[in-house]
Amino acid sequence: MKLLFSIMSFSYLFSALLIFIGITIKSQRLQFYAKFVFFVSFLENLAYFFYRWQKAGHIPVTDAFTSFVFFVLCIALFQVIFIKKSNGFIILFSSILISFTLFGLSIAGFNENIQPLIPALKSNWLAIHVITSFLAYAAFSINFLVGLYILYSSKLKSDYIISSFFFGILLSGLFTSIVKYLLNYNILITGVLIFLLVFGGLIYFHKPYKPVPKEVLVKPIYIGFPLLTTGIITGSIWAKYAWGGYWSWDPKEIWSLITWIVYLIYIHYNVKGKSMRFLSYLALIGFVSIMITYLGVNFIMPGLHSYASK
Amino acid sequence: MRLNKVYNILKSLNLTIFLLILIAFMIAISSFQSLYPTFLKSIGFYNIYYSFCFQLTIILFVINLIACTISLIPKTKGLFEVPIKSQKNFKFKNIEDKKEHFKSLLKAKKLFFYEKNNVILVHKYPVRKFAVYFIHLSILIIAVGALITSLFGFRGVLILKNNKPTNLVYLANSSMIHLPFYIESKNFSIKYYKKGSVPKEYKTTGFIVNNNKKIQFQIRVIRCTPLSSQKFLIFYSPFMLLPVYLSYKHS
Repeated sequence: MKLLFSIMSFSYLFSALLIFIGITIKSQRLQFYAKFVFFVSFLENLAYFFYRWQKAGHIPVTDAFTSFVFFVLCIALFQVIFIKKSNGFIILFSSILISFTLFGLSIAGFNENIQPLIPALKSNWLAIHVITSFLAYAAFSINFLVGLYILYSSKLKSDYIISSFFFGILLSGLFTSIVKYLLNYNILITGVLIFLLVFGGLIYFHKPYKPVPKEVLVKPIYIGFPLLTTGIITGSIWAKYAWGGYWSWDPKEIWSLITWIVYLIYIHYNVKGKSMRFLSYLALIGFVSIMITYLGVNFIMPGLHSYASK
Repeated sequence: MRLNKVYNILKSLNLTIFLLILIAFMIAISSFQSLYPTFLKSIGFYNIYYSFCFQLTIILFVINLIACTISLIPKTKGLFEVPIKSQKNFKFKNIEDKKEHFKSLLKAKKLFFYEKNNVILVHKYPVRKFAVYFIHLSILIIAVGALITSLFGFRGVLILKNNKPTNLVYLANSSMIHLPFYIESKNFSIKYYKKGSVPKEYKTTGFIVNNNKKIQFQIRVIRCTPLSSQKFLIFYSPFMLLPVYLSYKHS
């Protein structure tokens, strides 16, 4: 199982590397091969997911390690669906985000062993609630990556500095976790240095890129929002059976409602015809609220969903 | 005139966005209450969901939502009224034949159309025009439901120890109420998969004492299913992974 996980992580990284070279040397053929490698990585990810499901006897999304694996699988699934139409940059950023998550996961020290379920999780609502929620997170993550690309390709200094900051975190996180994975060497200070280097490099080498159509930015929201709504509704029904009430003002519930509100505002502003730049900034806010819902709540705030931090 | 001004403010999207941000801000601050309870109590943000200020915001949001929905009706109605001037004009010699042919083409494309005075109105997805009403209505039902629960219902914690009957419920606003019946638990036990690891089963027996009548219950939780015992529904609540609370409410 560990071998498959490593193959999958390196395979996503390889697709990122290939597409990066393809974009740099403007080779369409290399970009096509990179997309193919990405597709193969997705299949490996899928195989890993189903293998764990078969071993555990339940859908593997009930602890931190498996939920991260499922999260990257959802991002890859969306990219595979739209791979023909997808911009090379968006595939590159998705591969970087996925590789960063997987390499980060392999050094984070989460319990990788299959854990049995507590009674509250032994429910048929588990699969539908988690699948819809994670698919929504994945769609919003793609919206965030497209938003970052739009801001990075902008001529305004503030836009590409903010975008470079987020890309800097992603890329330095990826490099740091690869070094830690390969050398088993604690490199927090080196990580900060890598971040400064990447951040500086992105600003120095910045140039306005070809803009993407508005549809590419907004479409993931129209996929993610109904999924998140379904996730919240199914979660409420499950909570009624498990804890006796549809809504308990648990931190996870609160932050999923905040995320829902952010994207509700997003949709209304899109209908009102706000600029892509404005919507890209909203995408950043939305992604931050997702990260708080997904990570902050699991690891910082205790609540009914605390089992997910194990 | 003044009424119109108030209506325009109430139906405005800016008010919706402001209220949504306000709600998000209030609950976001309050979500940290398990980490900083004293600080949040001092600034009045502890359990803000049950406060008058939060309820007022929700009421205002409900009014805004109703006003917004009403303001959308003329626009939607207009979409289904045949316009006086058409967007595209076609001139044919034999108009009836061509019109029938055109209609069959629209039908084949599964488009919605309506004809009046030689003008044909075409819609691609007519049902979509009503989606906004369904969504607003569902949000309205949830918001009104939440308001009713928040104004007339209560929710609290009852600490149930073995062989100690109790009817004392601690509410979210730090007050207490006495239930009209007692609940007593006996022989509460937890089984683990491995010693000290993940809980596998919760088990207890006990009584609900109501008007000197003892109603016995037995709970064995291995799956996510509540226990139904005559007038009551009993749930278990593994808050912070400590499965020591039993929450219950009238069925």
